[in-house]
Amino acid sequence: MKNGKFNTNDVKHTCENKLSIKFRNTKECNGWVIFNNVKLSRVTVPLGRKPIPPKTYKNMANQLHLTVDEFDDLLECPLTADKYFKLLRGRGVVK
Amino acid sequence: MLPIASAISGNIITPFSAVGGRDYNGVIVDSVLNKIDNVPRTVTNASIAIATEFVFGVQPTISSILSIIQPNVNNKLQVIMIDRLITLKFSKPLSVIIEPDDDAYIVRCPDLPVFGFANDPLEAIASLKREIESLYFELMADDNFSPQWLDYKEFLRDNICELK
Repeated sequence: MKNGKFNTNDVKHTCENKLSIKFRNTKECNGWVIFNNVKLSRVTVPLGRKPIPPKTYKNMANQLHLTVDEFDDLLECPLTADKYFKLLRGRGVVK
Repeated sequence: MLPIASAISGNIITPFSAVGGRDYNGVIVDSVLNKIDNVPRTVTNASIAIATEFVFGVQPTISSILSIIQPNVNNKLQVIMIDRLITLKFSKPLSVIIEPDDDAYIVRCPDLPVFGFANDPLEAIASLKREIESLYFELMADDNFSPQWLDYKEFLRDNICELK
């Protein structure tokens, strides 16, 4: 788990850039992963945390239907949007 | 002290020690918290202490307050039942789990893929409530969701109603 390496802004920017998530700017910063006009995952990024505590990091990964290792990869770049949606298809999240 | 607790909460405060086969310490204190959301925290703490006394028969002290809202006591998870959100309420209370997360707290709901997070357990519970309420309104807005989310939508529609 590489939660110590990333802060909440890193996660937010990666989700926006890679997965095209549009976050709501409210007290709880959350947004939907949308694929073919269908909402698949809803992720919450706590505001102002640096670094992200481990349980919160794991819960964010789970919200994206990822393991912690896959979430690390998403944030570190190896896991592209294409690979991400392929993973979700394999898990039955994308039909 | 019990009559005061009852007067404040107007709801049942129930102790329990196991949920789904796991070992927990928990009480329903949510109604107490809700009733006094707008008054100073010291009063909130006092009311939790009253709930503690009611459940465990102990003198309400700072330590007994912490035994309710500090999840790392005895290394057990803490569970409370929430029955109210902000403008909505549950038809039956929903279990939420409070856990320490480094120097903060995370509050999870086993029935829904949402969590609340804050430096303080009560703030984390409030955060989770906002999350559930916003999720409810987002799900009710349209039907463009995966089957899993449509199941959550049905769950919330069946279990949530507006506060009168």
